Amino acid sequence: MRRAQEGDVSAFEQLYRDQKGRVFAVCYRLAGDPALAEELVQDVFVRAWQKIGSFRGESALSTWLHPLAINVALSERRARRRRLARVQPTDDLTPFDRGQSPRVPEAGVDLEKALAGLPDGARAVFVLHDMEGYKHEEIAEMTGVAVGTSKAQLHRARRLLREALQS
Amino acid sequence: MKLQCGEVRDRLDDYLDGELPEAQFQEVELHLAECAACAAEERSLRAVIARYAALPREKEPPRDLWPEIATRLEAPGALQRVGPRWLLPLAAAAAVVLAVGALVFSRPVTTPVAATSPRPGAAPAAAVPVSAELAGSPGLLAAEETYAQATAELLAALEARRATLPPGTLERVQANVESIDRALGEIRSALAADPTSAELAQMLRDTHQRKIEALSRVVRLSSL
Repeated sequence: MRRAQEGDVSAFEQLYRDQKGRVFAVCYRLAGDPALAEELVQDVFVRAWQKIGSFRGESALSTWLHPLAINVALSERRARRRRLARVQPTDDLTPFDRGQSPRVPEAGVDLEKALAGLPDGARAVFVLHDMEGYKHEEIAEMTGVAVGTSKAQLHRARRLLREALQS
Repeated sequence: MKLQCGEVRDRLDDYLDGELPEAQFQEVELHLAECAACAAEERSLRAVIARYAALPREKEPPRDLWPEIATRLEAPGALQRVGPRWLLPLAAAAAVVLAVGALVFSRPVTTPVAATSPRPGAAPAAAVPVSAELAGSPGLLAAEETYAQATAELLAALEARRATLPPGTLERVQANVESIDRALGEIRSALAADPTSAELAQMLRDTHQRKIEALSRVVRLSSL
């Protein structure tokens, strides 16, 4: 750890080896796309390298790294939405439509696929709340939406997932 | 008051997450005990949450990403996203310039009673050094010194990249900086005559700001 802080790349590699599974899991689930997730993982560790000098050991390294990974994934999501918004308006935050049909589920669709099939905003809130354990107030701050929106997205995500998994 | 099914369904997420106030929690529980349909709804939602909560916390990336990460780490400053490598010292110097500028702006200026300042129009002592003029504002002096150094570094960096800048850029930048420096000199002289003048201190800050913006513009344009 100290050697990584002092700029020892091979020591930092050990951090990568230890944490890559955890970081990839959260990036993959937030991004919903494996190729993007791979890029995000790289971004996370580059950012961690830049910031490792400020890690004071007050928590476990994984505890320090985790919010950083989420932050990188959410920033990329914001950047993507800005780019998309220039082309077309996003409808990600429309009110939950009870009549909306879920993505067409395949037979035996697995949990990760169903998750990746969620609309972007609903997936982000579901991952952060039901998988990463954040509260709505925290999610609202991290994603820049109102608490009510976060709750609505969670409501939507859970029901869409249930539909996708029921077939 | 008994809840209807629709109201219960709306509250199920908060119920499952333990976010319902006690009274509402009890009402939902009562309803679920009596209503098979809503109870089934609650069970199915709980099952979805449980299935995802049970997913592994780790997921192996499809391939080894370390070689690419290592390449990016070993680039100077690991700042590959900032643009061409030669811009890095410029960006750093510009950051210092801007930070110093912020320091200069935020410095509060005390404005004592006018009677204590020299008569307006009194000739400034020609040999008064900057330090005496700004003796009442050591923070301002320190800021100016840091600023001068950062500016020199920035100009030196631009000079070193002369070949990559559009023709005449460096000359224009230097001419700009020189004219601003002349203005700064005049303000400092005036401050020597009137060290407590709030207006002069403000002019000093504003003129520094012009210089910072001029140099920042060049840095930004060079990075396009």
